[in-house]
Parts: sequence; C-alpha cells; structure tokens
Amino acid sequence: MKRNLNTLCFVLVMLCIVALSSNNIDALQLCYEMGKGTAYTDATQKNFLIETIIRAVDMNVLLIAGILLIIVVSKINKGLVFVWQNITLFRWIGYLLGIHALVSSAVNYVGKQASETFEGNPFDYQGVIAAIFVLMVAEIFAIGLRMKEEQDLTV
Amino acid sequence: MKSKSIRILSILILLLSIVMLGDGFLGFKDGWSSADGDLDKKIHRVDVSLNPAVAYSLPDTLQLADNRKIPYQIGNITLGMKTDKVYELFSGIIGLVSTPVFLLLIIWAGLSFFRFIRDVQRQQIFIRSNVKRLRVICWMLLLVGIMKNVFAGVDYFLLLKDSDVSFPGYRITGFEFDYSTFFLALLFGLFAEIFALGVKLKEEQELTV
Repeated sequence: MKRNLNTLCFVLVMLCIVALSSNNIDALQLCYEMGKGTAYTDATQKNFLIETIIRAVDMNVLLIAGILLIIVVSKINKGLVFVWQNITLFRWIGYLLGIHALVSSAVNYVGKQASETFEGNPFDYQGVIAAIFVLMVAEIFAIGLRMKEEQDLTV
Repeated sequence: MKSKSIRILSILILLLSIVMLGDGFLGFKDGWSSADGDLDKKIHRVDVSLNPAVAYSLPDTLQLADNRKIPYQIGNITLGMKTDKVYELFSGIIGLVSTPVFLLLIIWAGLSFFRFIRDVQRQQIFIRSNVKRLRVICWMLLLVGIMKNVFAGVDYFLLLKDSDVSFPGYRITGFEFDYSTFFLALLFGLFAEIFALGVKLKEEQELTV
C-alpha cells in the first residue's frame, strides 16, 4: 500500500512539473515574441489589456494551485497523510480551482458574445466539479484526521 | 458542521454532474448527426491543430465589404482525408475492440463515481467499496488516456504525416501526447490509496473499541 502511494506521488509530482512548465513556457514565448515585435498584439484594442490581465491572473492561480498540489503530494509521500496542513492546502487548492473555473467561464462567455460561431455552453462545469470535489476531499481528510487523533488518544 | 458541508458539496457535485451529462449527450447527438452526413464513408475526419509559422502572429487577413482588413489565424481545422486499406484495418481492429470496452468502462466508472458521492453523502466514507470504486475510476481514466493517444496517433501517423498537407504561413502541430487524462487518473489513484489508509485506520479504531 505504501509503495503504491509513493509511486503514485512520484508520477503525480512529475506530471505536475511537466504541466506547469509547459503552461509557462507558452507564456514566456508570448512575452519573447511581444518583445521582439513579431506577436500580433494590437494595443489599440480596448479589451486587449483587460483580457491579458484576466489571463495572467488565471495563469498565476493555476500555477499556485499546482505548487500547492506538489506540496500536498510530497507530504503524503513522506507519510504525513491525515494532518491539518494537508486539509488547509486542499481547501486552498479547491478555492483556487473555483476561481479558475469562474475566470474561464467569464472568458468563454465574453468569447461567445464576440463570436457567432461559438458552440456549446460557456460555463466551465468540469472546473466547478473539480473545485467542489477537492473541497469535499479536504472535508474527508478532516474526518480522517479526527479519526487518527481519536486513535492516538486511545493508544 | 463537517458532515453538513460534505452533504452540501456532494449534492452540488451530483447536480453539476447531471447537468454536464446532459451537455455531453447533446454534444454526442450533434457529433452523431454530423458523422451521419458524411456521404463518402471512405473519408475520415481528422482534426488538425495549426500554429502560425511565426509564433503568436496572425498570418491571414480578411477583407470586408467596406475595405476594412481584419487579421486572423486559424487554430483548428478538420480535414476530410481519404482512407487506405492499412488505415481501415488498424482503425477497424481498434474500433472493434475498444468501442464496447470503452462504453462499458465509461458506464462502470460513471456509476462508481455516482455511488461514491452517494455513499459519502450518506456519511459512509472510509469503506472498502469506496476504495474499489476510486480504483475503478483510476483504471478507466488510464485506459481512456491510452485510447485517446492511440486514436490521435493512428490518425496522425497513418493519415497525416506523409500526406504532404501544408498551409502557407502555418506549421501543422505534430502528434502531441495528451497527459491530462493520466494526471486525473493518478489523482484518483492517489485518493484511492489514501482512502485505503483511512479504511485501515477505521478498522483498527473499531477493533480498539
């Protein structure tokens, strides 16, 4: 059981690092192209700055959530499963995922208003479900922690 | 307090999952009817991602009736590629094997997820069946990830790679390994192992009492 947990933790941390770096390499490339002047960034567009700020906030929210996930997984890897820090970290990841879902829904909604060909629902259901699921996991961890504390007291 | 918040959260998840299921069903219906519209069955739709040759530039320009020019870029297109015998054989075998397995696994994992949320809502959290359900979801997601990559790989390597298809000002994105499903699968696997620890803890606690 412990070995399974360690293997899963290791692979998850690796995937987290790959996902975070690939996300940020895209942003760095955009910054480079903008600096070089080859990227199309019409600064006269009214919504350019607002859209850029929203996307930057969203990117940073995901970056922080990713880093928090790496911290939780490394704690679990060390055998610290039902501890208060993990509950707090999971709650924060849940809140950040919720913010991401709201931001991406807002971006999709603006995109839908601007385009006639946008199909489907702009609301990010998957993001909201993920956020609520992580919050639920945090509460489940709290129950596990209470159980562990009771057991420690009994022993 | 804790049990109340868990109940509210699980009800929210159930409601949102039902809405998402409805959305997915509508998408499936649209896809089915568009696939039905393909007259020539030897033509296969291949989704291709395009990137501008110069990153973040807008290679094309649209001229409007009032002479205004709007620069644009194409992100994704769907090509109607003619299939050959090798492709038909590969996709036939993969489709024949994977479609029923895929459907069965998706239904099984969906039911497992609903049952898991239902049990959590009923305060039956650290039980063996929940560990099993989370493991089922993990394995299903792993298989879905593998199948997604196999389908994309077959389309790219058998239809697109040697087809000389090119778009001026763009480069075609090659086969990109999709790891997002694997990430989700591993997360569920991790939760399953944590639940297994919780079950052990609970059993020890019950023995002590």
